Amino acid sequence: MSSSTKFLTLKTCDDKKFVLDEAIAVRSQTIKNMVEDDCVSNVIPLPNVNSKTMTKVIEYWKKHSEEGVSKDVLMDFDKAFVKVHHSILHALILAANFLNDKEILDMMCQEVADRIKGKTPEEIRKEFDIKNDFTPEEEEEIRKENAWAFE
Amino acid sequence: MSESSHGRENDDDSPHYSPFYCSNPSDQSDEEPLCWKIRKIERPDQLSALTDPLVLLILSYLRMKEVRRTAILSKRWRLLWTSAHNLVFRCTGKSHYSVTAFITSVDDTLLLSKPSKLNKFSVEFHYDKKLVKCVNKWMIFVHNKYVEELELYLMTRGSDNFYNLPRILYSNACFREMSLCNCNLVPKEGINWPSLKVLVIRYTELNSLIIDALCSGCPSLESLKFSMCYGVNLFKINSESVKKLVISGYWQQVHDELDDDDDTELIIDARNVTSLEIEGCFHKKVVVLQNVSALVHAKLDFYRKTDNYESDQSDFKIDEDMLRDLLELLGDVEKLSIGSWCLQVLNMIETKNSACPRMRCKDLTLNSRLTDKELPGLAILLQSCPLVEVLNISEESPFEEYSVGWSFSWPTYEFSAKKYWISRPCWVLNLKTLRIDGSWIYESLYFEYLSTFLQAVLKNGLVLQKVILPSFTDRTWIPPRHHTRVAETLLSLPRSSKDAVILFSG
Repeated sequence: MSSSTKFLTLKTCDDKKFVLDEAIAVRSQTIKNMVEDDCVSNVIPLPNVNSKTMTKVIEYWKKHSEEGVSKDVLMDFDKAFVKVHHSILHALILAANFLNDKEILDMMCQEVADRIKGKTPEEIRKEFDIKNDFTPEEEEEIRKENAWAFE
Repeated sequence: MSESSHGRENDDDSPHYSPFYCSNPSDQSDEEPLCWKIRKIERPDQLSALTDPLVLLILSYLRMKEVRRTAILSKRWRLLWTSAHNLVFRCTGKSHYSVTAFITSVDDTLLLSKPSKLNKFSVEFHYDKKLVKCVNKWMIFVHNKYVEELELYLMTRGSDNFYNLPRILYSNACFREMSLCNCNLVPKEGINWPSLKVLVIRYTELNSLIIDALCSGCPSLESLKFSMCYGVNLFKINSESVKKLVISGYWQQVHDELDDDDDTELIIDARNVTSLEIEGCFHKKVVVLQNVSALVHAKLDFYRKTDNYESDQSDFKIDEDMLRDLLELLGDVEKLSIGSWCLQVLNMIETKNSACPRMRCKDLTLNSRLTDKELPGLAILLQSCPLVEVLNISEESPFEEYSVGWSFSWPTYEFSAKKYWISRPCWVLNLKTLRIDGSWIYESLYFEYLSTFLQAVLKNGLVLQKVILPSFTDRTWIPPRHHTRVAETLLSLPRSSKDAVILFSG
């Protein structure tokens, strides 16, 4: 496989096409399985991923496939990569989940966790726009059930 | 992400929320403010709209206290925590009240935990012997829930306040990773952890039987770390599978009388290990290696600490002899890492004009900020490692800086003078890459030393390809004017290799 570079064409849900070195694209377990099972014709459709998200994913794949990049450079890259708006983070989680790329998925989930960390429930609701659908009585009950967590 | 793909995602994976979309009167009515409003209110937020497995993956990065706090966010989150697969509990409070509340909450969580199989169980708290029954109960839970990763960090006071790992855990096919602190191993019927790959043991009394039992009972064990353990003078790693061994410090108990000469040697015998790291403080112990011919990578970032440097110069001799013996045995490793203390000992070897063994290493890393205390050590090391192709000088090691013979007055050198480097015999002849991490090098104190060193590297390095220096990022608090001066100085230095480039990156 490594002797000659093979290219794959990926098509996102908004009909944009991405031509990508197969060696890089198979970072996605989903694509890898398709390639291995010989289900790849000309174009691989990615019905759950839009072009904006795919651009981010490919940016990550390319950086992490570069030769001779130091760990520190990658760490800085990753740090900058996750510093995005919630909606992009969310889209990347769904994309990584669909593409079955554990590395990106773990990194994004870690980032969401970091945004939850150290916040009060009220702050988390505000940050993620979560609607509180409890009555004050219910809320009080839950607070009691999990008393230790609210100390 | 587009609106439609959201809907699809939710319809597929999250039946809870599809009604919001289905019941929406019509898509054409988007312009109508009221409909828009209703839709906006009823639409779940992006985080809550994720499928359970994805939300649980996010929760797996949080401690249980924070996971349980999410119960109050909304009905969607009410009982999600009971499905968490990673149960991580931490309690830093020492008081009776906080420990008791902590134990109640752990018990309570375990009682309501739904999964039949868990990934991780981790506790860290101030342990006391009186709590043995609680911890034993948790260990039964660990056994019953097929936990793969166990972390038991018990902080204790007093020397007899340790916990003995209960019998039920010595035979367990689920463990993949285990990390124990202040937990003694008493394997009466041996150990059988066939899947265990990574094991870390901290602050634990060991004996040769325990180490043997670990080596023979963990056929998949790849990485083994003993940190601040005590009670043994021999780490004999008689295992086919262990490839990485870390010995991080040796715990010196207060009542230890270490005057006995027989006791001061600490032998590390690791016949199949390919990566060995020795780090931290070893007090008076003299580290000795045996059977290390399989090593490819070695790290010596440790220090000895004795009180008699002042009165007794013979301790210097012990340090020197020890390091020379270690380096001699590491002559064949490809990758070598050396910390500050060892560089300082090399410095002493240098001042006495005694020889440092020849080494064939190609990749050399120095875990130290280079000052006048370490630079002569670096010089002798580079002379002894003529094959070095890659030289890394990284941030200082995480260990406290400890100087050799802190009260000992060093013979004064003019390390910063370029004469010092240029007058050395040929070195770095094979060097291709020099990488220096950490913006500390631009601080004037270090830069003075380093610029003369860099000058010599560029002059001596006939096959030099790259000198990689940290970029002037926002991590540097040095004014831009200084950046320019530094860059100009470096770029103006004469280079012997035509291909040599200086990069500012990372």
